[in-house]
Amino acid sequence: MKNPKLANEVIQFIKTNKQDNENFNKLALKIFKYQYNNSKRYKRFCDSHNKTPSNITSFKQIPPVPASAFKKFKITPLTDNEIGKTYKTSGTTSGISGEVHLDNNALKVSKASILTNAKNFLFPDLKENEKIQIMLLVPPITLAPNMIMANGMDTIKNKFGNSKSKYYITKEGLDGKAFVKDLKTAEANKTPVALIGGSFGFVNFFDFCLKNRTKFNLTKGSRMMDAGGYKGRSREISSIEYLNELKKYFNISKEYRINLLGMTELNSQFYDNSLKNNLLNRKATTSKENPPWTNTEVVSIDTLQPLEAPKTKGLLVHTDLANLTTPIRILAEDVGFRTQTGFIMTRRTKGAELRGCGIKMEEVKIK
Amino acid sequence: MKAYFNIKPRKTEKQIYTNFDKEVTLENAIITEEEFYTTLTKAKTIQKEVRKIPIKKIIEDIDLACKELLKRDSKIRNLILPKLAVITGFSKEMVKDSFDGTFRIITKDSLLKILQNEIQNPEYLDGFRRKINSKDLTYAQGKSPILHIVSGNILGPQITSLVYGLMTKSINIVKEAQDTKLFTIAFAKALKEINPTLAKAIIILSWKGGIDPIESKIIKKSKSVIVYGSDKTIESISNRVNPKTKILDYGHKISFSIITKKALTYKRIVDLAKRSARDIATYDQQGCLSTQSIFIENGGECSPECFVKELETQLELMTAELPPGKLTENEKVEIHKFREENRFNSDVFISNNNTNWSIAIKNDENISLVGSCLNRAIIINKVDSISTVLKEAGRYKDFLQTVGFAGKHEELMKIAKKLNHLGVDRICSLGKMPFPNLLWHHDGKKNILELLNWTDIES
Repeated sequence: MKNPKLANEVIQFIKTNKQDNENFNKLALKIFKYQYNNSKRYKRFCDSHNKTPSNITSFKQIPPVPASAFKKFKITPLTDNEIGKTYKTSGTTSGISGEVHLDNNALKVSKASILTNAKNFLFPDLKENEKIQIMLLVPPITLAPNMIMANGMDTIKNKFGNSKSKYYITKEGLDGKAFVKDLKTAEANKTPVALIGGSFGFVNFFDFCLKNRTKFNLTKGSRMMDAGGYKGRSREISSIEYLNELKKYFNISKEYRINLLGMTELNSQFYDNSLKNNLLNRKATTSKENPPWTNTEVVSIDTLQPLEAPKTKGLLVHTDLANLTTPIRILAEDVGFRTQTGFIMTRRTKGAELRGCGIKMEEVKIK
Repeated sequence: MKAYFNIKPRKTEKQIYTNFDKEVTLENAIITEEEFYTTLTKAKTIQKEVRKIPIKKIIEDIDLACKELLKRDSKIRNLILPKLAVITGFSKEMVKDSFDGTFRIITKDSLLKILQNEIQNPEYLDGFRRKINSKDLTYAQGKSPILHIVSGNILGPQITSLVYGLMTKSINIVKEAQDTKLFTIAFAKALKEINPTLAKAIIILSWKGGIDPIESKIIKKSKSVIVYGSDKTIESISNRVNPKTKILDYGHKISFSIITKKALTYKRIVDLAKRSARDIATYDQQGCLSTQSIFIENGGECSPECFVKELETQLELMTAELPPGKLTENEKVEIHKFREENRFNSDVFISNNNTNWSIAIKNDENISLVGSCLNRAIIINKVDSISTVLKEAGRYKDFLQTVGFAGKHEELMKIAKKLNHLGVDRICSLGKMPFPNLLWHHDGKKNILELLNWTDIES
């Protein structure tokens, strides 16, 4: 293991969970140095930009790797023996999927990121060690071992889920009967639940509710986290329609809907701060809020130079300290802008290949 | 402005284009099956009149129409050129360049030469004439009507296709990509002023390709079908033509360039770079004739790196001479991806602070004929031997089009046959790639011969 000390420092930083720009920068540069020195390919990329650990002082100078590059190259500081886990990008458009590799240290960092993030944005109202019934519309790890979302959701279930928590995706698809039955029970017992899944899985379920003239009056404290966005091949609904249907069929109000933006190329995810804003009584547009161990910059689509003015649209560049063994700075093919509390992704570019797990969710048909 | 010709539709649909802060509205015809059949019946009566026009006269009038469009004070030219830039998103310089490039090569002489090359005696199209070295008589008549389906945002091939159709005295139904339709309309309008009867043989229509049910009806009524487009489009059309209908298909292709070590001299390097820049910049590399990669043989008087230095300068100069068109956000992202991904295994040179041009240099270990994202992104492959080029090109056998070549004649002759075996249908000098002469066997075919029916009378 080449990086346990670094991993511990990052874990410590994540667990501290405080905005600390100076230490963020220090750690980012350390990670960059580690990655630069241990991956010839990454070194060549950085050298091509004339950026090396010895000539930069800010993480913002680290050249961002386009997410698409993982489809063409194996970019990792790890040797084959050191790789403990490989996640695959979905490659929905091209059929070609990319890979990112993690070792055990990176997995520990990733776990710390997932749990701290979930506490910040998905369960900010849960008391220490309090658990909730989590209903998962994602495949369990056994069915999707290389899907980063399945791994992340499992981590969340194990930490925050009570004994009633359950996966509803089986080998045969969505177990609609069990899902409906458990929702009915939760409704009757007034037990709050956390619904977690791909956005399109839920849209399919809204359709199911409409067709079967059914809805669930879930009790206060119930919430939904959905990920994957809309992938274009199924019913596309606007965010407002989504919120309306969520209220109509689940009785979950907009403050309790948390959309998640995840990329296989990032070990941390970005959550809507809707619930956090609500608890803090913060009047702000719901945005993806960067946890303290990440940074998102908006850069010009013409020059890739940073756009400082808020609300100016450009491409998103993410820096993630949890990317211990994946390049620390990633250029997404997503267009968005900065807000007061975070950023909003407005669209994925069209030539860009779609990522994430939404497509898998969309393929799931209600039995 | 009306985006149809020789039809009177009851219903039209407006389409608005905005680019370069200007707006153009096109009025498209939405025709019914009934309207189409009426148009076709009328065309059949016109057919008789058109067949009476001697081929010599047809050629002369096409020549005059093209000359008219080249005049700087031509009304039609000045009406359509500015609109074409707004509609296509190509810069006005680029539109002008391709407009002039297309109409300049269509002359009396060039048209006569094509006919002589393909059918020996152009008068076979007027009536029975003696066959060469025989007492037999022969006469050729176009398999009319011809349906031209031109997809893709390129200016030029639709005009040559239409001109070939007119020379066979056929009725020509032109279904073109929305963006380039005015180009054909310009030609039709110019021809109408010179020879109204001949111009009646042109019908310009539009419909949603692959969706509108009228498409299949029109395909069924056509005796020849010329289709430019992707494999998918071609397949979709081919499946619907009558078994006896001739289909001439021109699929999407790739072109590339070769510079041998003997060509890479101090004396020629600037010129070669300039010519390459022209091949790359024209149509912002969108055409099937646009070069996507340049193979350079190591060991010349100048190194490939020297060439790249010069190419950088020439591409930069070219952005003033032929400015790049308007790019979509998606295209810009593709350019950034091309640049950044190549940095992992290639040397990358890019224009300063914009997306105007990009160069990636590869060596023997990772050479690649494909991979350009277009919009002036060129791959330079350094190779130790030209045989490497043939090996790489072999991987794309069915998709090869033009090879731009700089080298000694004897070097070319060593590989020319092999390039033919790989499906390459044109070899030309650098700088000429986007502008084939009319005699070219486009996609390796005889372009007019295929549109004719012959009748022989034995002596």
